[in-house]
Amino acid sequence: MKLNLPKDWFIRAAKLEGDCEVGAGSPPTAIQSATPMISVFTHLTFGRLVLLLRRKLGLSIEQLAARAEAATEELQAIEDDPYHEPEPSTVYGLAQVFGLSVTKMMQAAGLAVAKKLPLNKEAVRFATDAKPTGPLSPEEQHALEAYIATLLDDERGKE
Amino acid sequence: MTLNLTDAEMDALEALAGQKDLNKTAIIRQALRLYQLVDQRMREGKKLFIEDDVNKVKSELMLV
Amino acid sequence: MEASVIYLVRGADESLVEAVLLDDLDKPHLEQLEATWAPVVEQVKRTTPRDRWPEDWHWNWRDKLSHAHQTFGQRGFCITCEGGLQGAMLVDLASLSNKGTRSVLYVDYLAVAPWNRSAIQTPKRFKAVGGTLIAAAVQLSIDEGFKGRIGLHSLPGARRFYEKNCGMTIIGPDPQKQNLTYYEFTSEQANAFLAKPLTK
Repeated sequence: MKLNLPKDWFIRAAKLEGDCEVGAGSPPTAIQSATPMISVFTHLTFGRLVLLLRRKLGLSIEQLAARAEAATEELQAIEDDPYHEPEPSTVYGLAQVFGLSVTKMMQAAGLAVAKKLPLNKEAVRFATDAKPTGPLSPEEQHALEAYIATLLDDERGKE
Repeated sequence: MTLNLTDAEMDALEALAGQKDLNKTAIIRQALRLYQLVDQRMREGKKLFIEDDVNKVKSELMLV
Repeated sequence: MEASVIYLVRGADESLVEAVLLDDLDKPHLEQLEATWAPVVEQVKRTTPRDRWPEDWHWNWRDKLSHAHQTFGQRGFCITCEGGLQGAMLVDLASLSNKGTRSVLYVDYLAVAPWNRSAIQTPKRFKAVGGTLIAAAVQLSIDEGFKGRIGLHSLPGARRFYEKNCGMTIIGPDPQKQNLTYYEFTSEQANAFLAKPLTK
């Protein structure tokens, strides 16, 4: 489908839009308003963390599942679905495999609240498209190290 | 592609086109979309119900 | 996927900026939406009371799009500019209207990026994103034989835009949609909107 409108159309559209809000769809239902919100971004970031650490270790999803004593389907959902809420036992198992603090992994997974605002700059850089297999590229390695460093710095109470 | 419809089907197509203010091609395409949508949902294991708004009786649409 | 050159207006200096309208919301753009909009929305949620959260904070675009690439009935659109995803829309061609007899193209979801909302950022980073998405819906409606007719349920904060700026017909609150107000463009209104946007 092609849209062909003159520049004037957009100039006029913007002028008359002013500070109006624009949106169409559904408001939250009573259930959605009452239950804790799903943090898409947090889950997306956590999924990327798990994926990149898995690739760094050269493991398949099945191998990681075996080591973390978790279900393969759950790990697949963690990596692929930003709306999936991970099981605490899975996050615990992953923390053991990756050698990271359980507390910080729980916070990264959105299962625990961080004392201060997280790691958003590093997390945004982190939460971009990542391939499911293969060795890490230098950019991915750098992003992963930066993100883990902020996790550890956080733990030590640094700014 | 040529569509072979009975007289009754053609009458129904024209009636729908008039009611919905769509041309006949658009009606056929709309029917295809709806059929595909229902088929997709059924293959996902979902069911399609028609509800009587007055007495709230639901009946399942049987698709075999 | 087809791309159309469009223009947005930068809020900071009112300059015209070239942008792209895509007639699909594919996986890379969906991931970009999730990765870039969510942090801003979450920041707002941490710092404001719940009644001032964005009205679409709970939307699950991925879930809604799960069928879009498997059937003909749904189509996604997005607008990109300067490397960022500025707005997104999902329309439904397979809806059956029980509000009137004439078929309309239904706008299922429409949202602009959080930095393009005056409630979150002043001035907006870009203007005309929402209006352009409405224009895209109208164009698709024309292309598909619906003669420009579209329908949508406005989020409460956007009613002024549809009533005053777009000139849509107010059909009324819909009890099946949490009493959101339902609006429609007639064919005449839709074509007038494309010819000369927005009325006062």
